[in-house]
Formats: sequence, C-alpha cells, structure tokens
Amino acid sequence: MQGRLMAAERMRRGRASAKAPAGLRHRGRALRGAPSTPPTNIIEAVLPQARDVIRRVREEDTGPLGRLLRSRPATRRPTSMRRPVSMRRMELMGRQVLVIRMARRRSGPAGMRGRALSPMPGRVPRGLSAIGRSRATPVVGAALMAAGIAVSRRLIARSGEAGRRDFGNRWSMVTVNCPPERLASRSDLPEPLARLGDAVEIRVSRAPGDRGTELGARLLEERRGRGGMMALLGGEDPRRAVRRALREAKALIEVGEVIRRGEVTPERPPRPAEKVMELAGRRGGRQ
Amino acid sequence: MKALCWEGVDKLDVQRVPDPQIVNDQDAIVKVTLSTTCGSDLHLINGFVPTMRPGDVMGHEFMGEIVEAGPGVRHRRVGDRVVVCSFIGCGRCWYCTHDQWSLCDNSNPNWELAQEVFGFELGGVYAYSHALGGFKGSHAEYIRVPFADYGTFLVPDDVDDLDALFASDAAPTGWMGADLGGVQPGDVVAVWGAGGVGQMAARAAELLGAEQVIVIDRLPERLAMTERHTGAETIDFSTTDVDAELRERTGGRGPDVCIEAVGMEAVGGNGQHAAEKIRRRLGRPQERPIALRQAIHACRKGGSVFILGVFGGSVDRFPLGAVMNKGMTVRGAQQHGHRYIPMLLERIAAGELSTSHLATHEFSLEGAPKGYQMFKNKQDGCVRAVFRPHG
Repeated sequence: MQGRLMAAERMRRGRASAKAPAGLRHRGRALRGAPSTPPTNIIEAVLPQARDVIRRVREEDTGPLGRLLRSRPATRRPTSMRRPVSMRRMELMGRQVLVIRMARRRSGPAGMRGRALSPMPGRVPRGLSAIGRSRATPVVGAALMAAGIAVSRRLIARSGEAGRRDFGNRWSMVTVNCPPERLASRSDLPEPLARLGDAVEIRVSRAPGDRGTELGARLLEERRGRGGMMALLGGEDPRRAVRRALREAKALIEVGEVIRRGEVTPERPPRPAEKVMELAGRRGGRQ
Repeated sequence: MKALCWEGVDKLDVQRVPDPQIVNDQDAIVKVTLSTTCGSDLHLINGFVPTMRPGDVMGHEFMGEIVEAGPGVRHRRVGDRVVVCSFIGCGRCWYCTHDQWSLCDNSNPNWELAQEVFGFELGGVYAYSHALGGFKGSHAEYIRVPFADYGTFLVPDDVDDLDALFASDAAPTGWMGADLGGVQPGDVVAVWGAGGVGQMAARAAELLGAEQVIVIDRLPERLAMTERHTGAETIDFSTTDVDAELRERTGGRGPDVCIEAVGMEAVGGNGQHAAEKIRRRLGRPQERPIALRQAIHACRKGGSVFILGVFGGSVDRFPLGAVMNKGMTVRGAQQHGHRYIPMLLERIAAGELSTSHLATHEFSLEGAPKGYQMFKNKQDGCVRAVFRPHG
C-alpha cells in the first residue's frame, strides 16, 4: 500500500511539474471551435477540425499528401454545388472511427432535390473500405478519417476525464522487469536510450509490488520540434523515437535483444485503408 | 521453399517464398513436420481480421525438427523433435514470468499498431496478422521460431507426431479455458463448440474434476466424436432449446462454468444468425457473439464464463446486464501455452489425454487450399486438416 501511495504521489508531482508545452497551443488551434462539452452531432463536432487539418496539410506539408492537396482547387465550391455529405461514427476494432461518404452525383438538379442523401450503391462496405468505396477522393478521405480518429479520441477523453488535456509532453513510460539498482545511473541505460543523450530527461523509480522498475523518458522542451498532426502525417514525431527507444531499452535489459520481424511480405504500394492503419499505429505507444 | 499464402479474402495459394533466416540470436529454424488448420484461421480467410497482407504465410499450430539454432539458443540443439507454442513468449518479461505468456511484452515487433487496436499490445503469434507481429506461419517447409529456448518443447519419445501436434495450440487453449475458467471438482461445465479446442476444453474439465460436462454444437459427426473421445454429454443446438436443455440437465441451476470455444463467426438458431446477417448488411460490426450471449444467459447465478473463441474488436448486444446482475465472472485470453504444454505432453504420454483423433484429414502442402476448403465448409466430417510439408 505504501508503495502504491508513493507511486501515486510520484505521478502527481510529475504531472504538476510538467510545463504547459508549446505544442498545446499548436493543437489548441486545431481544436478551435470545438464545443466544450461533447456534442451529440458528430458532423458539427468533427467537420471544422477535419477542414482545419486538411487546410494545414495543404498549406504546410511538403510531402506527397500536401502536394496532392495543393494540386486541387483551394477555393470551396458554392454551397449549391457541393455534394451532400453523410458522416457517422462507427466502431472499428474497439476504436471510434468516422466514416465519411459523399452522396452519389446526380445527373440534374431534380435528383438533388429528390433526396438530400443518396443511398450508398451496392453492398454496404466493410470497415475502412468504406472510404475506398465512397465517391470521396481517397486521400481526402484518409485525412478526414485520421482527423476523425484524433478528434473522436479527444472527445472520448474529454467526456471521461477533464484533467487529461495535458497530453503535450507526457513522460513516455515502460516498466522493466528488473530491480531499480539495474538502472542506478545514466551510464546503465542501454544504447537506444543513451543515444538520445541530452535531448531527453530520464526518470527511474521502483514499480509497485513485484513489477520491477518504472523507466520514463521525455523530450526536453527545446528539443521537441514539430509534433501533432503534421509530424504524425510525416512520420517525424520525435516523441515516437523516444517511445521506441524506451521499448528497445526494456527489451535489451530483459531479454538481451530486440525482436525483429525478419523477412517481410514483398513490397507493394499500401492501400488507402492500410495507410490509415499505419497512421493509427504511429499514434500508438502510450507509455 | 513452398508455403501456403494468404492472398486475400477467401484466396489461398501455395507459392515459393524465401527460406526463413536466423534474424535474432535466440531464433531457431524448424523444419515443419506437421502443421494443422485452426478455427481461428477462418477469421483470417474470411477477412474478419485486418492487417493481413497478400503473401503472408498461414498456419500457427505445428511441430517439427530444429535444423538451425542461433548463437543465443542455449537449451535446444539441431535435431531436437519439438512442438512449438503458437504464441511467442520471451520468457523474461513480467507477463511471461507470471505465466501469462500470450501477453508477452517483448515478442511483438509491431507493438505500436497493436497498442492502437487493443490499448496494449499482445505478444507475437505466428501468422495472425501484422498487428500481432507479422510472423510467417507454419504451413511451409521451414519456419523461424524466435525465443526458441522458451517457445519449443521437446516431444517425449513415446508421444507420436500427431498427438504432439495438438499440444501446440488446441490442447493448451482448451486446458486454459477450464483452468482459468475456475473449474472445481464437482462442477457442471458447458462448452460451446465441439471443434478441436472445444473438445480439449471438455476433456480438461473432466480431468480437473468436473462431474458433468456438456458440449454444444450442431454437427453430428463432431458431437459423436466428442462423446467417443471425451466422455462428455452433448447438445445439438439446431434441434433443441439449449437454455431449456441445460436447465433440465442441471436441476434448474445452470452450468457453473461456461466455456465459449466458437468465436466471432458463430452460427445460431432462433433467427439470431439472420439478424446478424441483417446487421452486417447495414454496416454494423460483423462479429457474431451468438454463442457467447447464449453462454452468459445460460450460466448459473454467480457462475463463470471463459472466452476462448477469438474476437477481434467490438460486439454489440453484449448482455452486460446479465453479467452484472447475475454476479458473473467473465474472463478470456489467448492461450498461455508455455504454461501448460510440458504438463500436457506428460498427460498425452500417460494416455490421459487423446488428441490425434482431431486429425481427420491429411494433405501435402500442395493440397492445403483444398484442406482449408473442406475445413471451412465442414465437408466429409472434417474437424482438423493436417498438412505434411515434406510429404
């Protein structure tokens, strides 16, 4: 019990000492306009953020996604010309995702007046393939879905616990199955963590019960670089490198090696749905 | 080498793929002697599990001979006849040292993706999507086995290959359902599913002291096999009301422990299957927890339900009210095989546990697509199709 209290106190102090990171402002901008309580209308809740993400990718991203978006007309079509959108939230593998469908293009105005939303053609698609089967541009669809995942996660987090908004520069944590003495000094850190040098701060503490040693790392403020959605899309999020270094350090301490996948399936261009899954994977790593 | 590859939903093909290599020091290369189909493979074939990629080699339940060992392998040698656990465990993380091997911290190289899917990552497993490691499977001539000192088990001389084969997955999975389901001497245990895992769960319950074991399925040949090899009673759910039948057989109490060994593609009676099909057409989640719902409903007050069948994501219409109001314990896990395999091999050697009867059909690797077709469609009484990659 005493150990648990100490651990709780440790965590409380750790969070309290976290400075408000610059990245929060960055993310806060993305969430501008979001209501303070979870809205019931998912379209109203997500569309502004989704548009903002696409706008930022169009304006700032130097990668292929940004180039592709910039090649499309930036101006919005008049309302009367826009195809109606249906959006709904569904669960995929335990996650809230947003499925966006553009209505079928009608031959004339009479068709548009007939029904606001046309039914989806053919069989109702499965899971992520909904994007591919809709009339939305796959890239835009992927971006919207990524935004949907991010915003849905945030809405869920907000509805559950208001205090979880300080997600900017959390400690990444792993628990290593070894005594704390094994990590008594910085020179004891395995190479993946040691390689990060002064870019990270490290903390080590005894885990409650027989659970070993809690090992944490986080980037120092000035080394954080770009984070958020841009880094996520570009695969450059430095926090991801910290998470991977922690995992590899844990594996090296516990088993002496980091398991590798070995021979991989022959390369082919990823499908849009797989690309979204990969993006979701980059968001993983919550230690 | 030749291997059976997943090429898309309902598409399997035997192809030439690169030979496996020692990637980590603690790897071994196993020449596959026998490899078998598993009901959970059908979830991959039917497209229920995302993150599969064309070219992925199928198969996770196998045995064979070590033909190469990495420099970090201390307790196995070339020539050892071994059965290999389908889950990969490092043996030294907190979960492995606490006998929860399928939750291993260090055996899934795709942990980031798995964390996003489940909240925390699982251990790696052979041929079960890239979220669970992306490892090549055993329906091949050779396979790479990471952490070989922990994941391979020497087969006693008096246990033949076919018996040892099912100690890889079906037997330990079934045993775990009875063990962690909390079967006590004198209990009444009901098992949904008379496939390989269900039959093993039924036999495990008997060996753990259950006084009455009842297995529920709809296929007469499987029900007959279950009665013949495990001694359990059976119920054909296609001809009777399972709930009423269980009450009648248990003095109105309901089973003490219910083990669900079916998974997300259950077939139900009373229009449930049709309802699930409609939900599928409407784009709702496709997992069909029909057997699980029935188990929770039938279980006695304060009883225990263990989920052995594989589920991938979320299911709707989960009877949470029954769980809460009846004071039930619901538990599930992928198999912690390392915990049980040595004991199971001893029981097989002692004649307490029979497994080879599950192998109803044998094929070469070239015949594997046909084997899966028969297994999937339950043709010719197929319970398990077994492949011999080296003839």
